[in-house]
Amino acid sequence: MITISKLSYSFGRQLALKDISFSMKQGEFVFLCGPSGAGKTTLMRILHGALPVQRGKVDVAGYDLNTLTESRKHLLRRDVSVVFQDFKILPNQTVFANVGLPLVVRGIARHIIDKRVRAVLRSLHLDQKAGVPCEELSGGEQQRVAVARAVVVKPKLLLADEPTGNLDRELSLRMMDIFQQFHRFGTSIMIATHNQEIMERMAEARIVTLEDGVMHEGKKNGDQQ
Amino acid sequence: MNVFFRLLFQGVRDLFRSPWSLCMTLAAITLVTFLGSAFLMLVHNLNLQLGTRHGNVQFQVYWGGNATQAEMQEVWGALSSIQGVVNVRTFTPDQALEVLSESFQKSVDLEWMKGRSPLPPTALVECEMPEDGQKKWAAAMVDRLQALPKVQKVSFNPLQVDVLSSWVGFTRMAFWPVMGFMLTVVALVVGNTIKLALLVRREELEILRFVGASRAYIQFPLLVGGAFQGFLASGVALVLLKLVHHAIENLLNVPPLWISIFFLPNLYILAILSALAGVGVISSCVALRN
Repeated sequence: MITISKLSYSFGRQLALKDISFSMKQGEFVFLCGPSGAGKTTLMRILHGALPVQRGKVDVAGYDLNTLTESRKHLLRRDVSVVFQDFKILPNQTVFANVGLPLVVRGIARHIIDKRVRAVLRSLHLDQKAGVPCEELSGGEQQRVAVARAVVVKPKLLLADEPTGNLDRELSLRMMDIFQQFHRFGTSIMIATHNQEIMERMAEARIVTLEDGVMHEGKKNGDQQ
Repeated sequence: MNVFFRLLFQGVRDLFRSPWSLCMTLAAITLVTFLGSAFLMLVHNLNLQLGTRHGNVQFQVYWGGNATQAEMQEVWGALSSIQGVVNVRTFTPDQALEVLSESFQKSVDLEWMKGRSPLPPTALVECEMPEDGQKKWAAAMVDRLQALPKVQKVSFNPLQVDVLSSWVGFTRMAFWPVMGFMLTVVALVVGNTIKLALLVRREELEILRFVGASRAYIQFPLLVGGAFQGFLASGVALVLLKLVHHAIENLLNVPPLWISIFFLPNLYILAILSALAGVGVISSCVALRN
């Protein structure tokens, strides 16, 4: 699903990722952990085509990101969904409109959109809020809208950048249950987090750590929330 | 097809998200298009007027008072056979008096002079001017007319033709710069509006990109918006110009001018509407590319 070979990325003189090599199989569940500023978000953005590959080789869901042109990036994004740290939802649009947006841009028929969006909203306990504008929702609800929007298209790969960052403990655990549910249906999932508890609850998940732009397999000792 | 029409509608609807920005843009494009179209209408009317006169020069021939009616009829009959003559209008002394009376618009009563008109018999000989050697040709024509029996005087005004020719040259020379200026201003205004729309909606467009919207899906409504602005504003400008035309249509249709002002032909109207819509699309493309 993901193959990264000797990937480096820098912002000016600041090296964010240093010679990273990593691979992830289809159907795998990976936690990408590490302290703030370790390069987790940068890696996520590269995997989603939001940042270019400066050095090295990256292949995601069958797309060679080194050669993928801007005009074809939407194809990658149709197979790879992202849950952003800052949600990136349209505040003045309703929950239903936000969740249905990826289906609308794919030109899917209205009655199918209606069916799929309502099913996802039900599974995330947002069905009562379908007609509410997102700006009227709490942070946790907005986070769930972002997750619903990411999973409604049944992506091959789901990237989530700190998806529990704005949630309390109970909601964080419920959110992880939802991710697990989609994982069981075959979606590959990579979650960037430094929440120790949710990592411990998913014993079967693989953990990789990013620290100072360098990737290690497994969790580093003393990596705390 | 459904998506196409939805995006088409969305392109227009999105413009109304910033109504003030839209109003200002439309006002700017309308003003520029109005001025450009007014210039085009001036050129069109000038060309129409000059088209009937351009290349022809009129010679006014006066006969002496002692010429008899029979002599005049014979000479006038021969006038149209002269090479280069395209039209001949003749006036007996009484007819000349009548024309003079008409030009006074009945403010001066010349009726009492009928039958004893002091004006000489005249002929207005309109000739097609050759493309080369015009001065020599005119002098030769004057000599030829002067040689006709009992002709007292021949007059013509070659300066008139020079002035008219200069006008045609000037309007033709000014046409493309004025049109170019108009289209450039429209392109800048529309491009700027689309850039502002992109800035205002940056976050929304980013979200659309991240959820898998293709470049065409994102850009098509913006291009439609650009085309719509150009089309609508040029339409408003043409309606305003039509109103102005309605008010001034017969302004010059009085003696001695008798000039009717015509509105732009349909072909010009279509050209303006499509050119402005096209410029809207092109400037939107440039704004999106940048």
